Amino acid sequence: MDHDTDLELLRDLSSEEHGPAPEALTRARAALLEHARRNPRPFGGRGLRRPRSPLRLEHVAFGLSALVALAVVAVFLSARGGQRAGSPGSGGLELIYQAQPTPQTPVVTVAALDRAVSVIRTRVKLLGVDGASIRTLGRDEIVVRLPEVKYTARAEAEVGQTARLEFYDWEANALAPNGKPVAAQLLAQVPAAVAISQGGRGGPGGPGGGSVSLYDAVKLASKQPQSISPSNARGGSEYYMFGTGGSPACAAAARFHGVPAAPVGSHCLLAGGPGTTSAAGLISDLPSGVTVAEGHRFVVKQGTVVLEATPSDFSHPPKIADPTTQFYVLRDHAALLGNDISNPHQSTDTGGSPDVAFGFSAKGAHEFQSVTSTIAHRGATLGGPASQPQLQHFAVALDNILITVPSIDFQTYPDGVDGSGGAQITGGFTTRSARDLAIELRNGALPITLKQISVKTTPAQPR
Amino acid sequence: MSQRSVQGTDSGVIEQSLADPAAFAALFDRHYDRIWRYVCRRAGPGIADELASETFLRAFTARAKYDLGQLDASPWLYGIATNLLRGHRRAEARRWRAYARAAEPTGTHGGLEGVEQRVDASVRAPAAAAALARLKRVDRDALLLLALADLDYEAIAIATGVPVGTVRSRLNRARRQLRGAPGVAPAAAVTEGSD
Repeated sequence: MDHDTDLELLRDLSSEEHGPAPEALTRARAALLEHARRNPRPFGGRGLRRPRSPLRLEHVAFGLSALVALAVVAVFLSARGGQRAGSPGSGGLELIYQAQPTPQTPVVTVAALDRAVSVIRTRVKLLGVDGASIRTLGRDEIVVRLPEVKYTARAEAEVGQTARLEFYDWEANALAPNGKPVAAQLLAQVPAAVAISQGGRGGPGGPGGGSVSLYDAVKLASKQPQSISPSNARGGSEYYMFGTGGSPACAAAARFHGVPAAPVGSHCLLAGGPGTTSAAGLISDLPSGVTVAEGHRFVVKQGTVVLEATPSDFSHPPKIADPTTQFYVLRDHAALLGNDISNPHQSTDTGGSPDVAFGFSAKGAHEFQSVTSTIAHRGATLGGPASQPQLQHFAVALDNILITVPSIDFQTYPDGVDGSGGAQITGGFTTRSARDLAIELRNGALPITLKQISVKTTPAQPR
Repeated sequence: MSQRSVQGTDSGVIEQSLADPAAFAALFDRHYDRIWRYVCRRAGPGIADELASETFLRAFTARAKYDLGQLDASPWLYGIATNLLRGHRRAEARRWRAYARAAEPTGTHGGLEGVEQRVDASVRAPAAAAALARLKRVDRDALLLLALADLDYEAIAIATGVPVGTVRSRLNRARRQLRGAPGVAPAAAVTEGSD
């Protein structure tokens, strides 16, 4: 008898179809409230037990599937460049990183180092390099050997990046095609704004529901003025270059990125993306045989961000260069960053369904209450039919991909969600998708910094 | 992805209830149904209302001692309910005997398909119920928190106030004894063993 069988036997044995009788439930609830009224002061407290340090929680989820866990972190790297290994004879690369603590991960533990190795392994895989070796060296170093890399600079730049997690007030930051924030257009029920706010079949932030192509998103984003503020999650500008659908340049780019060619009448990404922060980087990013003259350059200035729509499957998120991939444009005023949250983990909601819970730093708890309060007040102001209130949302993005855009129920939380006890994102999760989201959040919440301490090119390996 | 929403956690509710006692009702609304089902399965509907209600009264009284680092309060609540069940061992024993009787073979309804499994289960279930009643109390609590409350090992450790290693050994022992009890192992396993 295996383990599941004996549990099933016990469950079958004592199956209880009926829940509590409504009148008994009402009685019990009233008794509790009466008891609470008569005995308002907590009894026998040894004082409040504060949450334990998030650090110990680092051990919770590292053993989970690295491929699924890290694909999102790495996808934009791969998609942006989509580069494959260079031709034989292009030489190899050896990079040595030293892991350094971050405020979120003050001690570089074995678990943190192993997680960084997994992150790098996935990134390398997405670079398309076969036969790479990634291993730890001593207590805090990671050696990455790539047997053949044509785009050495790219590999060097991307392999050691730190994952980036941001929380935004969705409607306040998302821009409608007219360039105005969605929130400002909801009272007037401007259809494009409502579509972005309420989303399509997959909910807000997903493909459909007001999302646009990368070209349209970047074009809109590039028209926004520079807006520098402490709440910017990223500094500097981002560079993109697009070609005309059906052109030889687009065909070359499609081959290079490993995506379908953009049809006539549309545009294709030739080079650049969220990680390209200079015009020179844009040029070095062009696929071979494609010249600057064949492309149209856009610069997204600081204060605006282009985010990929929530992938339906984190393990196979669409590539940024794929002409069918969908995007949103947001003002870059992040309410919280990765270091504001702690201990993201898969949990269970009250109905027994999987969900994702996490805690906050003291500052994060305050910011969370503040942003969810703003969101709830906006929801209450907008109202809508009781059966279908115009719920407002916040968005969570990891490495430029929206990973979830949950709503705030303004009736239950009219003044926002008190972040001091953490928060949970609930609704429509499977155990796997909840676990995946928890890992995505963890990747952004518990990063370590990888300082490159050595780089050398190695001769091409004989085949 | 379907519509998702953000909620406060149980520990947030409990912290809030320290200043605003009525806020504790949110914890009741979230968990009462599941706690009721758990105690009902163990001690029967006759006493489930009383036990479930008492669980929340005790939880309310003890809320200042709650470890706010535990975002999900269900292990804590199941732990309180499990403690309460100890005062009702006779009711629980009666319940398991009743299950054993109710699980006896009841004819051939449901067609011939799967009849073997049903007969198998109907033979094994009374034996399992009887074996369960003979387990050590702490082992039975661990096993039923796993099987009926769907808690994982860490949550059972929180509910019963012992280290995870102890939970593991209790569960191993409980399962070994359950499986070793006459009539509990599935027919196929018995045949294999007797070869």
